[in-house]
Amino acid sequence: MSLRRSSLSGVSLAETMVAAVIVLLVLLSLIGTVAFGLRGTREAEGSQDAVLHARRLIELIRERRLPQVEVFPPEVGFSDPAVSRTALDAFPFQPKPSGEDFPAGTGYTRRIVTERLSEDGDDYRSRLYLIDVTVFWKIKGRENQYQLTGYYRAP
Amino acid sequence: MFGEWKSKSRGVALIAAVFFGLLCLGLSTAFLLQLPVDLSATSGFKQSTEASYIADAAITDTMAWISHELANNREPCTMSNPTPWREGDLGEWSWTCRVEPDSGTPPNGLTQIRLYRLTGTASRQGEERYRIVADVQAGQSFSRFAIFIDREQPVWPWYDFIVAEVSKYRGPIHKNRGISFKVSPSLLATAPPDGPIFNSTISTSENHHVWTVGTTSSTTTSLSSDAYDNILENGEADLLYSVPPRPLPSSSQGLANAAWGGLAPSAPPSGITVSPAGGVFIAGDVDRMEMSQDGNGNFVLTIDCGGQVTTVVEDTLSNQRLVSGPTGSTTVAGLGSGVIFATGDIASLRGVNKGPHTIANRFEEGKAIEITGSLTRADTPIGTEPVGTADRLGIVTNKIWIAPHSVLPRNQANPLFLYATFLATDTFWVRNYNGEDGAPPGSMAIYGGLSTGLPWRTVRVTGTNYHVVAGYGSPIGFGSAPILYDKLMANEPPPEYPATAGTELMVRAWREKPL
Repeated sequence: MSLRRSSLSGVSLAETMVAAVIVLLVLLSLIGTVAFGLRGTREAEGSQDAVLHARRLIELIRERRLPQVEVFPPEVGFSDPAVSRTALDAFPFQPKPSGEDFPAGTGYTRRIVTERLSEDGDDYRSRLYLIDVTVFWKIKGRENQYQLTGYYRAP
Repeated sequence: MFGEWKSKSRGVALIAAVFFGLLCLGLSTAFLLQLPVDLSATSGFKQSTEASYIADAAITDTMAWISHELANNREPCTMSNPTPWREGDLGEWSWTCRVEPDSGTPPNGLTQIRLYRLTGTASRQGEERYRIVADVQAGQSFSRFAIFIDREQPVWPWYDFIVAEVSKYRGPIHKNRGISFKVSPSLLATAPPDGPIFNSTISTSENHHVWTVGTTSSTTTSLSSDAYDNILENGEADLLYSVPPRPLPSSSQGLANAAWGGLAPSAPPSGITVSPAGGVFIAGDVDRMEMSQDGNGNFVLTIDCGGQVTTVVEDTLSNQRLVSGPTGSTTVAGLGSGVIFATGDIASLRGVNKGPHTIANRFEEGKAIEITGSLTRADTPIGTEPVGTADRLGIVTNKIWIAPHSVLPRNQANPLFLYATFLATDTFWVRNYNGEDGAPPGSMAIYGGLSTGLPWRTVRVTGTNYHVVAGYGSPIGFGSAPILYDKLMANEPPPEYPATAGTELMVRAWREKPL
């Protein structure tokens, strides 16, 4: 019995060692793959949310005619400060649930630029405004951005 | 036995580990293969969204251009360039837009409503990515309005609308001036049991409305939010301000042309002209015009001009018109344009309409039409709302008169029924309204819409009292008439029914397609 047990144990130990190394290597590579995949999925989700936020911003700007109203009288139109980042639900929008614009604390920020295409009243484009919306978000400290551009036609 | 087992079991752990490794390898490979698909889908979503806004910009830019051309009395589509092509850039993207006029829009036709199909395409690096096809329209048929008022009554105070619990207004309302409402005080606090008084938008070219509550003479330009909710289906959102004014038509030439079948002469030959491409053109005044049906269900129009009686039978089966008059009978190919036009007054109009028709006269010369009996339609039982558009009727004139009781007796039990949409560049006037001249109060119902230059009188104020003398929206028997908005006719107007000469474009259909 003792001979059989020692013989079996010796063989199993070598096999087990090799098998353990294989399993370890496989698990490590699997973890790496999963981590890589999850990061990619997070980025994809982040991008999709950014697209939805950018669309929402453009639609709200059109709906509220922000390019042609006096948001900060007497100045007509609305743009965010050029350099800084502004929270999505910051003025002139409102956070949910008091408003219906954006959920609070999304982690996304924005920069909005609206610009009249022509100041010449004889030019048909004097009734057109460019809306340029950039949505920013961070993943592990790295900033990502998505830019969406559309037109607004004054009624 | 144990030795045999031992030799057979060698390598089992290794094989299991390799198997496990292969399994994990398969899983991770599948995971890795799926990842680019996800990332590609996200990238596609991002690009598709960008492209959709670029194609949208193509349509928006082109709509602004067309409006600008029309506002400057230039046709966007000409004989030399019937389908103009627009293009532009926006960042890394480029766009194109093709403009195609419909068959009635210049240069293909001469309708007042302009319809264009715009095809906007977004491209990046020469590759088409997204396409939007939009059908846009300039000008709106006046049949679209339940009530349209162009200008103000010269004498104040006349209120445009009585807003009481019994009032019901259906369909869009517009006035080129501010609208004055007389509101029942109880409506400010309590919602009416049958729902809001107005069910559609009320637009004005001014920046406010005028509200008067109860019998007070003080006015306000706004009510509370709760009061608006009681009165308007969508609350304050239904009140539209500073809408560009929509002028009433200033010339009946388009209708005359449609009746004549070409450019109508300024001095047409006397009598009645029925041409294959036109409708019925009458030079001079009409003493009596009556619509009816013959035994075969064909539309029959009887026209009496100074004792000379002419009948026009629209034979739908043989697709021709039989014209019988003082000089004999003749047949004219086709059913024509459906426009019946007189250069003079029409002193009496009544009957049952069948088929699409518009009856008009030279409104710019102050010509009037007097209604001496109900105007009903063959496809609709009297007293019910139309469910189709086959027998739609439009009336276009300067003044519409409703005959006095001595000619046209009517009361709550036997009201006057008018199945038509009316446009009167002056006004719609009921003789003997509310018992004037000792006659009993009249009663009628309009199944269609009413566009007028002056508002239909609604209320007269005597001292601190007011009472309804005529008006919109009240039930039969209140000395006024309900207008039962015919939204089917709003979407499919009577032939050549006037449209606003607006240059603003609105979207009627919109289709998007990623490429």
